[in-house]
Amino acid sequence: MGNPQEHPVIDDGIFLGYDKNIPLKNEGLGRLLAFLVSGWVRLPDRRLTIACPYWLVEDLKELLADHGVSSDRYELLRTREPWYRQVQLRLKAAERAMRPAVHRIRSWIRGESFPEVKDFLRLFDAKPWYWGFLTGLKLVAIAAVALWILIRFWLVFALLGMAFAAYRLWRELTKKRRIQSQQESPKHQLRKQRRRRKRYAKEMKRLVGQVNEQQVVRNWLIPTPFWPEAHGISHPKSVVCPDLVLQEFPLRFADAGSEPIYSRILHTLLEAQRLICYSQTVKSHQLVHGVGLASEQIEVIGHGRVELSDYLKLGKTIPDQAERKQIASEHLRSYQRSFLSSNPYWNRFVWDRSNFVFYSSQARGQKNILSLLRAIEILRHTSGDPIRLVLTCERTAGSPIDLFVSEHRLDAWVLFAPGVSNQVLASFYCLASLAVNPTLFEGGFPFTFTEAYSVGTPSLLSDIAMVRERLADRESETVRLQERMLFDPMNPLDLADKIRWAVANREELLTLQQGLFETFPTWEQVAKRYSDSLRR
Amino acid sequence: MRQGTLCRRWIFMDSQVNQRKDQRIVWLLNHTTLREFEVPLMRRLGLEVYCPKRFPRNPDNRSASVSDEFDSSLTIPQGDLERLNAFDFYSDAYPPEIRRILNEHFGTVIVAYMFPMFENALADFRGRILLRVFGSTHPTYTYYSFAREVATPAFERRLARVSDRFWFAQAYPNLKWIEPQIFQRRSVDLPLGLADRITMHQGAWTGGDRKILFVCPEIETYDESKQIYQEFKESFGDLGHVICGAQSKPHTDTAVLGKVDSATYDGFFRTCNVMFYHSRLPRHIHYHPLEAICYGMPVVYMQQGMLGQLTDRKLPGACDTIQEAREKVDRLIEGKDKGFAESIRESQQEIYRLFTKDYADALWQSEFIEKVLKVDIPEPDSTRRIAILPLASTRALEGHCKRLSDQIAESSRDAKKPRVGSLERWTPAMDTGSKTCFVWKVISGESLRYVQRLSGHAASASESVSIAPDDGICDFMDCDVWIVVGDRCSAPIAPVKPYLFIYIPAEAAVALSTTQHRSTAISLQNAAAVVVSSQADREVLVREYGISQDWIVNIENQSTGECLWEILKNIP
Repeated sequence: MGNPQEHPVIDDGIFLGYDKNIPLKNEGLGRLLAFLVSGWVRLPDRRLTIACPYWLVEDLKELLADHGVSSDRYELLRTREPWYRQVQLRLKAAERAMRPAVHRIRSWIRGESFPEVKDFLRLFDAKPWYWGFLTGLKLVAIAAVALWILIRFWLVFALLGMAFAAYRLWRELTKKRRIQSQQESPKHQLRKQRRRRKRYAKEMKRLVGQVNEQQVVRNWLIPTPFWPEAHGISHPKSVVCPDLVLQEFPLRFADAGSEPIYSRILHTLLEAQRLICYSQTVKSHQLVHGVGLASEQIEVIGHGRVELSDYLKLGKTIPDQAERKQIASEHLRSYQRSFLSSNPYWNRFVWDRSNFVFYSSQARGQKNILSLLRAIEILRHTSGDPIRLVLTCERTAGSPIDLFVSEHRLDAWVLFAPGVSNQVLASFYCLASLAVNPTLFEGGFPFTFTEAYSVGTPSLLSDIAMVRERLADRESETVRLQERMLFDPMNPLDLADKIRWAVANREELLTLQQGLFETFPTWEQVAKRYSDSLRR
Repeated sequence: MRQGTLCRRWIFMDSQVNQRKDQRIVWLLNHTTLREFEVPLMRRLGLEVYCPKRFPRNPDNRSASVSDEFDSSLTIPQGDLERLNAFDFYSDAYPPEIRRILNEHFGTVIVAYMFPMFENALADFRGRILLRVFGSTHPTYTYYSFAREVATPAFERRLARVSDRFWFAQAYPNLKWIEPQIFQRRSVDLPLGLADRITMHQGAWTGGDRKILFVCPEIETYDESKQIYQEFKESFGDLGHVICGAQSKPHTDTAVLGKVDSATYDGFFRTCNVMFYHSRLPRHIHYHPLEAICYGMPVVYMQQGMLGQLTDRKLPGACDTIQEAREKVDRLIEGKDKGFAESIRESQQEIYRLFTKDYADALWQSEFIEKVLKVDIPEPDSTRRIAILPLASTRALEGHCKRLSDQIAESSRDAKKPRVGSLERWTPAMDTGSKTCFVWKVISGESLRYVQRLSGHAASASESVSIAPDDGICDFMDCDVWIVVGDRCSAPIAPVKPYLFIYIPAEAAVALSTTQHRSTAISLQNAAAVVVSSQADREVLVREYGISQDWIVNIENQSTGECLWEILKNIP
């Protein structure tokens, strides 16, 4: 570490205010947070503290552990669980501890098994002999005390038993009505929402109070604009605004019920003194001309490279591409056995000898999956070798994607593989002929490019401002690269043509993209920029 | 002929023309006393100023009037000037011709805080926009928060869109402090001053009339005025007084004189021994105490009000309480305490200086000329993306759309090729490079409101349901302007993007249902322009749908592409 006088450790903080039941792992922002933290904790002269409400702790630890960040590498500033939650947890723990014994006794009472006399016999065989004697004594004492309590308080136990029986009876009788009224009345829903908001506000106030009380961490990063409560933090802070995609495609987000969320975002942004976003386009087009913020307030920090190669190695040695493909193939075969056994089109698909393109994304309008499906359908009718598609989004019944796949009978051509593990994700990328990203809008340069390249797969990207601004730095290669890599996202014909070419010339495209891949910083470098920007 | 001017060929303006444009100001206010000071000031700075000739005649505008004395300063074509003079900026959205004139000839608009006038300027003017503010009288609303209440849902985004060519032009430096960052950051101090016809009376006060001059207009019209009047009567009613100020409804009190002629008013300023100015509002001031200060009349006022905020110290005329005011008025009304009167008169010069021509000229030069007019305004984006959306799936209409796309692409030089929508079903064999399949989907009024807030575009008329294009991807929201083609729609087109309505009657004349007729009328009304290709169609629209002539552009015998591009480029 060197002399601490020469390299004083700088304390940085990240404030998280996600509400209960937000699946951090599934959120793109959750992944991004994990990348950033993984870079931050590797910085030699930085110490990271993460402040979060108590309900987020377990999810957060799990998410970070998935990305190789153990909990001893960062400090946690969290709120305490309320008393009822603590009681609940203790009861749960006790229940968990008792469960095997209860199970055994219950099955014995039901006559499904014999009392485990063997357990008692073991006491006689114990070595040394006095261990068995003492344990037996202990058991007799416990049994005596339990018997005494039962006799002494039999009335209480009888009443409790009756109450429990009455409760079960009442639940049984009202079961039908409960099922019918599962759709809560709007009034009830509103009341529930109000209660939830109140609880959230209270917890946020407590967390902000804790952040303000401590004086060790004096610079805080608020990684999303969802939490106007964070303005209560009295230390200097920067708010990250990934994007305001709903301003771009408002008819896709026309649910008036989500307007309060938009209002909260606007409130956070308008009150913020310093902001960070991932691209010049978001800065100028959305934050300055969409919200009215000053250009000087906003710093642009692009994404780092997302490497998936770690998920495709055995032990510590780095495999070559051929070996990596074998590992990936194994992962996918295992995935096939577990999840695709009932899918007649894909359960015997040979991953390493077939052409397929891959797009890892959620199913949202602006992700433009429909254009990609149309391109696949065009290729199906025009191309010799079949080129299939693997998507990681859900196939929601009745959605435009679902309808398109059904209407054009594309089940054999399109695989929906939602919720895959990091290994399977890396394997899809590795064995795909191409990664294709037809998105119309992203906060920064799409992650999918580096994810694919890191396991040896080239990408096709939609011709959008966020991609172009990154290419603008590499003018010498830009023309050729643009010609080969970019496509008009609203023109499936163009996309089909580009896919056809790229599948046939995979290696050429990969070579063209090498320079671009190398311009992406590591997450350590990105975290350093974030950390520096907190003190600018 | 209007069409001729509208469809003028796009000429890249040279720097001289741009410079001329930057020197032309549209001054969208009609306050008489303000105009008498501010417009000559701008003229002294070498600027040309256009003043509107129509304003709503209501009690809110009792101090407003019209003047054409500055029209001669303008070097714009006479026809354009006449069109501006006939237009009501206060109430009406800008028709295509007004958009063209403003954006072609003027670089800056100074606009009063009135709706929809302010929002129309934000929506349709491409140059610098200055919101001219003099302080609000409301105890809780700020300018921004009140605008959000009264403007369309698109207001926030409209303001944000122009945020680098917008200024909060405050007359007093303390107005911005209660406003959000966007106003604070974009504020410039443009002080107002007293007109020559007032300053010519500087020091004309002689006193001698043992009366308090009090000004309180519209006592019976507004509750606040009535309360002010009653408080004055309670505290000073036993002393001699006159109460001036226009009264739309007559008042029984003989001391309430209503609007008096200027000679009488002038007489009061010369002879009344004292003026009492009641206002405790920290961010609003009326003209009359300033006039009194100019005359040299001692003014007793409340320190909490704007007059008290203008100086660093409490001046002799300032009072913290009404009792203190009464004591000071008692000393002044008899005219015997000459020393006290003199100390007030002398100290008031500190305030007077802030309203003089010299002071204002210097600040306007440094704030307006240097900080506002010298800021370059980006040229309009010539690479706009246009969507062409047919209202029905007929071969004829699809053909029209295709031709329009080609014509616009030919005329618009840098513009991206328009994206042509098609109501056909998608098939792998279709030419998806040249058309995008979509359907018209219905959205509720509640959703529409939210969408307008997100998109930053709204129109005044809206219905409980409306229709919007749905392509399953981005719904053409990535385009800057839509061109809707057809002659009927099942529900009004959702005003979530500016759109042109190209009216092409169906070949087989099937009568419209009542709902279709009404929906088509609303869609036509909300369009940024309605384009027809024959005089007969124009007449149908005027007669059957009540569309104003100003909003209809006839492209008969003209180059369609150029004509459309001319309209499109003036839609910001």
